[in-house]
Amino acid sequence: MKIKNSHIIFFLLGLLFLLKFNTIISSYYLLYLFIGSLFSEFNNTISNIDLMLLDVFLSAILFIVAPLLTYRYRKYKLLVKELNFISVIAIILLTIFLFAPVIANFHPDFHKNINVTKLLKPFSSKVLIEQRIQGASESVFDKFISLRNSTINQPFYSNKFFVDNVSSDNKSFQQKDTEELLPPGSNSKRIYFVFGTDELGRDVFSRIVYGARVSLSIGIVASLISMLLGVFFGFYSGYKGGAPDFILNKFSDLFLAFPIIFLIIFIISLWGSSFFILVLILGITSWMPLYKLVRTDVFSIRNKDYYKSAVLLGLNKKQLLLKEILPAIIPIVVVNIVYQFANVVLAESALSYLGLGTGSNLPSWGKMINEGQSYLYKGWWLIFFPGMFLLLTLSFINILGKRISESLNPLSKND
Amino acid sequence: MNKTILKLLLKRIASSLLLIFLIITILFFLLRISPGSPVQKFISEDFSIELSQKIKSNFQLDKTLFEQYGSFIAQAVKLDFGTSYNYNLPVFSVIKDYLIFTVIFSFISLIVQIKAGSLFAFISVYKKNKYLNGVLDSVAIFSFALPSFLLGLLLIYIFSIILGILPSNGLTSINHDDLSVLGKFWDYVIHLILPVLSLSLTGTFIFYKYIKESVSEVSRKNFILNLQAIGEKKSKIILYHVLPNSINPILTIAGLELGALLSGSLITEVLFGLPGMGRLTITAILTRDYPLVIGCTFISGLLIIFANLLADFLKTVFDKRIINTLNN
Repeated sequence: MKIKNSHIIFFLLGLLFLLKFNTIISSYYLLYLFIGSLFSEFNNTISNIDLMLLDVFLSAILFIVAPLLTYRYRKYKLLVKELNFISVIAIILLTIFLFAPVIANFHPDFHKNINVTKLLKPFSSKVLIEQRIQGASESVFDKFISLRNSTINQPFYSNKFFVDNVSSDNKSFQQKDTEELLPPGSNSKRIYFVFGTDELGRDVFSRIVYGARVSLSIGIVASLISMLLGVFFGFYSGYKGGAPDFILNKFSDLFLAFPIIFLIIFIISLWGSSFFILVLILGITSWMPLYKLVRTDVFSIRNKDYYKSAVLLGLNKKQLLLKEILPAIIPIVVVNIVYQFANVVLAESALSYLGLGTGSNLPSWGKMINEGQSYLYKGWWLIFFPGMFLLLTLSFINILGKRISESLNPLSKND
Repeated sequence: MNKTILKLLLKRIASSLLLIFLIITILFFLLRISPGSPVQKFISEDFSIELSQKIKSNFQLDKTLFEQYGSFIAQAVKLDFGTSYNYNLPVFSVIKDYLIFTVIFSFISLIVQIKAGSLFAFISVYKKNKYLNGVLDSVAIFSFALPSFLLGLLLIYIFSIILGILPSNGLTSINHDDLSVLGKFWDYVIHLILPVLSLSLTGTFIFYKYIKESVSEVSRKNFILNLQAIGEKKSKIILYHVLPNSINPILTIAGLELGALLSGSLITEVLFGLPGMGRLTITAILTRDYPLVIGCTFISGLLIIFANLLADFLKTVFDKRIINTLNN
């Protein structure tokens, strides 16, 4: 039997369900309590909604929807295809991107007693002790709040701390050769730091999982912006010709003549950097190659016979653009946007590496590499794992672009 | 014939200079309207108002924007971009040291890229070893995806930390001044091995890809098959028939690559702590050294144009038909 793409989706989701059974079940219970407390204390509940909460709800809902959709569309062409390198990486990245709050053990910035968890090697383990907070009342809203605080990954917990080891009868814990009694009513959980921890005791794996969101969403949004600008200006200048075309063309020459990274750094250093500024700048400075391609294509289409006959048939401008020109340039745009995505992710990681990234405390892969660089002597894993993810993602996108351009252009297959 | 070349050359140079002028103008206004002022670094709260005004007028920042622009253009025409705020030296004498390093470094890297790229490409085209080609192709794809800082860190980790045989930072050792001439040269060489490697890998495989494509296309043509049938030596066919016919796209790429290298290989310079144009430009931008930013941009622009002109000139040497197509 062939292993198909749909099988790997089911396998990953099932694995996630087994490993993260508690988190998933409690996020459903959280959703139930949330709806319940919406009826009892509406205003208080609404004011407690934040992005992290929505994120957990969304991934909880997706966890049901995704397998159903995969099952429903299992005969669909993409899902029937046999497994290969590209599809595995794509599915893993997509899973990480969508289910980040379920997959990650901690909030990316969570660190507590650094002396225990600082610079741990990959696959080392510590015991996380959680003290029960007593005296919560039993209304639905209070239950919701307490469950919310324990389910959602938060940057700070006052009632959790790490210790080296716990005795077998769960009465005492060991911390650096000293043995102390456990606080009453606390439960302990063994935590494995699969990718180790960094210099502040933060879990590298959780940071990579959340960093995937930052890196990939910057890539997606910025390449969409550059696609829209490129197609729009390319259309405009190819269709109008004349003075606007000349000006736009010279303008894009101006941008293409110089290394764009300097311009980006220039703008970021002058006007500061945040997620949106970074996305905007990366999008705005990268539409020129696509513009050139679209422009030459629109020019050549305007001289084709089918276009001339469409004009003679009396189609209006909108019909001409949408029905005659747009379908003909879609292949170029698709290939370009895939490569553009790789370029943007690369540029973002380079900027983050230089310390000019998103500016906030969001962990992107480039930023993790930048921070890990000073600990190269002590901890290779701080660079190795984010670097590995970056490399795999970028090579996946490059191979994808190559495959797409091959399938759209049958002539290039022969060599 | 020569007249047309000269005419084309002048036209190219004129349009390129116009481009540089436009870029410098945009930079000038962007710098002036951006928040923050370079004077802040030199002014303390304890200064009297007159003194701070005097400092400001020393930087010529008290005039209106257009007066500043006018005097800037008047100086720029004489190729004088003023005095760097940070170094307190004329801009060009600051750039000079960095430029020499960048030019040498770029040419070393370019030569490595072309040499290694063409070697791999010819192996792949003429040896026709299936497994070797597969390995080369997949290495090429990974090298396009490998960010240069990651490769640099990997090289540092292997050669500087684990093996401990190559230095990871700077251009010279601490005891550089005590060394003999040969020792100094060797010192430079071992400091440049890792940067050149990490800078050249991606470029090598870009050249590999283009050389492979154009060489395999040319060597399928009928006149090459004819030469092979006649029994011409293989090396002679490659050198006199395949190479001149396939060199055009390679030269275009080489021109672009040289331009990019000459304007400063930012990441590699930052990673290995090398005194190059890229790092100078970034430091100037981050410290708001207005004259130095504009000076660096001007020099980079000139170098990029020079590189592209060089590539175009070499193209016309190999293929005389190009002049006609350019002329039309």
